[in-house]
Amino acid sequence: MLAASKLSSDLERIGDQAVSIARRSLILMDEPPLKPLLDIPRMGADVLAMIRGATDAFVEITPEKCAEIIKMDVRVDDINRQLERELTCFMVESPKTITRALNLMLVARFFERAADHAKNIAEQVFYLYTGEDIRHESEFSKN
Amino acid sequence: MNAPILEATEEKLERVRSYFRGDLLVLRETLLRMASIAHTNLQLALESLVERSAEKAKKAIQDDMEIDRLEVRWMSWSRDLWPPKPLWPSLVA
Repeated sequence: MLAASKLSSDLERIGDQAVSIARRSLILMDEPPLKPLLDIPRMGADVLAMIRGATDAFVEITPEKCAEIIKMDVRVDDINRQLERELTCFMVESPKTITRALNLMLVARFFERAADHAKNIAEQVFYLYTGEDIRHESEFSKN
Repeated sequence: MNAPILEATEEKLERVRSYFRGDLLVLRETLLRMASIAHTNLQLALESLVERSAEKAKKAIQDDMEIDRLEVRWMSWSRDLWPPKPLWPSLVA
């Protein structure tokens, strides 16, 4: 029941991240696009797959699926770091891009946090069905 | 003196299972509904960004209230459930 309580909290926070992204999206619409959006849709697709996978693992009682979800979080983190570097270059080269670049950075950060919550759900589901705590086991996230 | 207060007979275990079963189904449904809305809203937010759609962004913001409502339902459910006072007298008896 405690694990289920944590699932509820993480799901609520994913909802909050969706709201934050939608608000930034409304702001970004007022200006021309800074760059073609390639990385953020990739991050978004990964996060959506993580939420779907964690929910399936919970419903189907398949904790073995959780390891794959936890690994996806590493990929989302990598895309976020890569995007931060790229957007920093935009800002250094042209101060006119600062507002748009910062808003895109925030959007990427919100997706990265949503991925963290999806990872938390996967870890909780794994614990719920196996009784094993995998939060600090590096083989799940680094291999 | 050393006799167990609560002997875990199959009959008593079944009483525990049936006590929680109905509520756990409600919990499972609530969590699934929350997951479904969170997934849909995140997808809407992503699409609003890619398609530059204000309509989708506003829908994602508006629909988040449903998740909050479900979380309140979940909190209210867990407050009513714990501690499970009505269960213990029947088990100890």
